[in-house]
Amino acid sequence: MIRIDRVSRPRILHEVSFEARPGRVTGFLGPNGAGKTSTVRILLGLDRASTGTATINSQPYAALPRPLTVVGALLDGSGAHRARTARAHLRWLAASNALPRARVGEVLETVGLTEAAGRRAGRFSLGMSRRLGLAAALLGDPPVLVLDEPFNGLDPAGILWMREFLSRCAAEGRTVLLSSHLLDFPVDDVVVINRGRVAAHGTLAEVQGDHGSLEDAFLALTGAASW
Amino acid sequence: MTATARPGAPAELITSVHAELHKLGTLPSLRWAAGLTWAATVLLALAAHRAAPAADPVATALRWTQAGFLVFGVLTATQEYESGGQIRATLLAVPRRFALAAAKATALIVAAAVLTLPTGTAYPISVALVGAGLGWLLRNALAAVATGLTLYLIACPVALSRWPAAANWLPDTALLDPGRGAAAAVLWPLALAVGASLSFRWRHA
Amino acid sequence: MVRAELSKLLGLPTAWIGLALGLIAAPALVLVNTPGMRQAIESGEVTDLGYENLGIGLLGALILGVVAVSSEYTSTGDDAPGAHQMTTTLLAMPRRSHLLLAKGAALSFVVAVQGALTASATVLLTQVMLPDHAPPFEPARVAAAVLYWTLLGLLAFAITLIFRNGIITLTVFIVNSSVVSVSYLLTKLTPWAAYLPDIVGAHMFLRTMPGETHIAPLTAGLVMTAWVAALLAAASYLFTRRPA
Repeated sequence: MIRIDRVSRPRILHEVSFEARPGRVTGFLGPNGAGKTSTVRILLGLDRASTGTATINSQPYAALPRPLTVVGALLDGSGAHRARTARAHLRWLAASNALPRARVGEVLETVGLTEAAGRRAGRFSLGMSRRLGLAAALLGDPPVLVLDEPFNGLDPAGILWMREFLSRCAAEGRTVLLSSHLLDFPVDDVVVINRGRVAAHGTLAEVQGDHGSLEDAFLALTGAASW
Repeated sequence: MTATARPGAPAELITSVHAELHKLGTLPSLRWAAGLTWAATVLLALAAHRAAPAADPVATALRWTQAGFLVFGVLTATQEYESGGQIRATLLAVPRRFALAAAKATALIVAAAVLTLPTGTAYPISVALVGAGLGWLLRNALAAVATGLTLYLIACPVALSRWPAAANWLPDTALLDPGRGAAAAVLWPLALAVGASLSFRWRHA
Repeated sequence: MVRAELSKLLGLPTAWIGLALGLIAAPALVLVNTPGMRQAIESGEVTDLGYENLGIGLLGALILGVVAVSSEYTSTGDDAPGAHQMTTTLLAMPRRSHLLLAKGAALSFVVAVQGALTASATVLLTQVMLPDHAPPFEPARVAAAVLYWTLLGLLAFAITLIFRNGIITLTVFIVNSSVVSVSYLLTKLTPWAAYLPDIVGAHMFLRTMPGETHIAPLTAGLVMTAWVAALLAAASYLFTRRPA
């Protein structure tokens, strides 16, 4: 369970509040520069909010014991130093949270990087970097997943794979929060953010309302329909 | 989940130190820095022995090759800020920043101690820690190396020749006169570590 | 093209740090060292007063030479670890040999201007501080020092291009410009070490050097130029053949 409670940062976020519940994919949608990444970074303890709280299972990220076993996060970049091999990167991450080493092989298998495990992260294509980032997020088999623009850099096959993967995660009972400026993926709940404010929040049906589709609703809510 | 599930601080520190040591061991640039420092120290010690057989050749060689330990220290810190955004992965894995800083310092002391063991002096550990402190503050390897080397190899000798009484407070006195410079060799890295940890705590990742 | 490289070089904050450092370091050293120099005068070593301090100003030339290359290879984003400015540069100026020439020319120009200013300032300042003992202002000697600086900047440029890493260059050169040059220690292993580029170059404008080998200024200049030419040739060979 993720709870964002009246989080503000000067000029970027204004009293942003919403929840993401277990067993559901929550789409965190908004145009570029709306405050999605800032919100996600505050949730993960990378940035600080000036007011408000962001908690995961009622605790701020920085208070979580062995955080990788609670939250898996995918941000831009793979998070791996370009000179380190994919395997070495995942091994130090596993060591940092006292996870069994066998998990490294398992997550590499899950994201389809087993063959490339011995290659340096700097030699990876954009799509492979994203897969490595996802492997790191899955390392602790976390019940909560936070993914910032997970479709960026993926090829069509990768996008298809990611969509199925996310639905499967939600079906397993995980909380999935996914920020995106695209709308083309299956969601259960929707949070629309625009210029640092939550413009709409609810189930897909609620947010869609009288608009014909999520796209129409999104464009109406963010005032981007003019073009 | 409740706070009681949180492991004790010592156990947490040991896990983080283990991870940091793993990081140091798998970075090619650190292996290069260590190898080149070693080769240069041996070569210069040989030359120093020829030049002045009476003096301690290793200490003479270290006057220059301490630069290698400085670079090593800098790289342990700046690896986090190079491309790929490793600092985010690090902070997601170990979100408590003072704990992370402590783990990093411990891992570096262990690694530098192993590297410096054959020289029989602990002084290079101090240099490596100063390098790491500069790396954390400046977040840029080139800038940190330039600053550190200017400090140790240019500013200190100049300051010493101008104000000989300052020797007690210069970070490099301990190399040739351990008795006199020990306090400075501990205080400089300590001050930088405090400064770096505070800036790390308050700056955005 | 030279103008494009010039504006790129002068657009870097690090380059301005190098410029400032180069401009300030040598004159500042004169001020700091004046008492020490008075002592030296009493003990009779006065030939290179003022000129001695010029060696330290090469820090600026060095930093400029390094950043002219390393800025091109710094990653431009987290998403694509392989992305750096060199790709853009090569798309704009695909003839690599011309690009190198332009870069080298821009660098030499900046370092020479900076060197001329600093060297004159340092020598004149020495005359103000120690009017009775400073050696006369010799334009030829100052020119030699400026040439030394420029060659050193180019040397740093070539080595950084070969290793694609500024840290190695910076470490080797700063270690060598410290109070006692490491090359000097190496002369104890073999006298040929006196012909290493930095030590041989200093013979161009210093009359008294530690070490036994004495090299005439002209020979010194030629040897150093040969070093720079050889390393630049190696660097451009690698640069034109390696993938960007």
